[in-house]
Amino acid sequence: MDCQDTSELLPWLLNGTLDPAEEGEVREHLAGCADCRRGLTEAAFAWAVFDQHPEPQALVDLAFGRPAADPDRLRTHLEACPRCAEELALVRRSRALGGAEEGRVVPLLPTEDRGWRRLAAAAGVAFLISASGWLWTWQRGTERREIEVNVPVLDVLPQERTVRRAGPEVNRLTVPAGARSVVLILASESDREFPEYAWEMVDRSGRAVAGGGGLVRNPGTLDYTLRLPVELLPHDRFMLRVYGESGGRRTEVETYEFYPDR
Amino acid sequence: MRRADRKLIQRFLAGDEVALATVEGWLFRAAWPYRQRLSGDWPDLQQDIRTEVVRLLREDRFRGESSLKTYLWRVANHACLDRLRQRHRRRWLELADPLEPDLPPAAAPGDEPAARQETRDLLRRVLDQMPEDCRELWQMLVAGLSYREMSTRTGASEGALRVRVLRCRKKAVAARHRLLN
Repeated sequence: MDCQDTSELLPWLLNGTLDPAEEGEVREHLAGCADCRRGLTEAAFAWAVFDQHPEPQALVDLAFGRPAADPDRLRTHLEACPRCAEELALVRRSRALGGAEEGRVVPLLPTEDRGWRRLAAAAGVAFLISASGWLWTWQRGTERREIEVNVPVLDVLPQERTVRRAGPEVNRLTVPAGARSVVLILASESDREFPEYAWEMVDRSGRAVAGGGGLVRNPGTLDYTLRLPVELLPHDRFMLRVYGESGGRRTEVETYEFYPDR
Repeated sequence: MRRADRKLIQRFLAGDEVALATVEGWLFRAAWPYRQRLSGDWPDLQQDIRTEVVRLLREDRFRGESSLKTYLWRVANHACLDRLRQRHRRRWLELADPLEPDLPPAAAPGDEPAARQETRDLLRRVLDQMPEDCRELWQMLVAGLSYREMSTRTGASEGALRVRVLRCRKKAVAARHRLLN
């Protein structure tokens, strides 16, 4: 392959569509030709020129109804660029998932709402002592509880699908060292809707070791989000059962099986 | 800023479990539509979004122009789009590194350094000088079409097409030269 052929093929080397034999020849030529390597730099520059896209912020602004800096240019680009049009569609889909809950704080673990209880108790006791004592207690309490960033998020399949697909490997629960809690995204496969949902943790012997109510099923993604402190997790295989609650009656909806790995 | 949002931020930064779960639920759902496309990056993405949200809230960057939920939703989408674009450039950089270590970072499609305003302005000005047929050809290239596919689509012979693409490359380089000098 000579310099002319190599030079012509460089753009397709960059986009990865040369067949293996052609690519091999181009690479071989490039390895020994400084001029063509400069050509590759030029091709890369041309790529950057023609592969310009709006910043992600512009697409997010557009999807969320904020004014764009250059709306005409953005519109023209979106008409010509399927990739950006697809990205915009993703942002819009994401926005649609959040619309139903705008402004509502969802208590996922109301029965475990120890933070508020602690705060209320601390405030009450401290008030009886003195206003300055209360302030000191509250500040110390806030400082002690640092925010946890390293929270593993695990997507979890229901038991039936787990077994059918790949055995126990699917819901292997690996908790990184230092993590204090874990967030479980429990995929739901049930068609049944209930006004309330609750959960229960059952150990290997079938004993219920923990549980709570107020579990929220997201209608858009059909999953439940459950945050659990690490110390609550059994060291051996355990199950999580999700119940639908209606009119004081409790119906088992889904079961998830876990294999802790720690 | 809404009172409820301010309280939620305080509780979140203080490590309150309910506030953490609430925010994490939002972030997860905001990122949900990207899950299929970012399957391999999904756990890292979740961590990135959480880290970014903690940073923004700690630095008091939320001004209350929208609800906190909308703000965080936007942050999560931004992070997801960034990650998607990083994926596009990954293969390209893998290819470029062993071939030409001196490639200017501005040349990498979607590369962060290219996002620097000065470089973006230059690229935009060069693009503005490019004829329409060059834009069309290179858009096909960037979209991942082979020269055979492009030849079929345009009706030009493969040889002619390759020469036209090469000329467009030279026009882009010449335009840059003119603008910089």
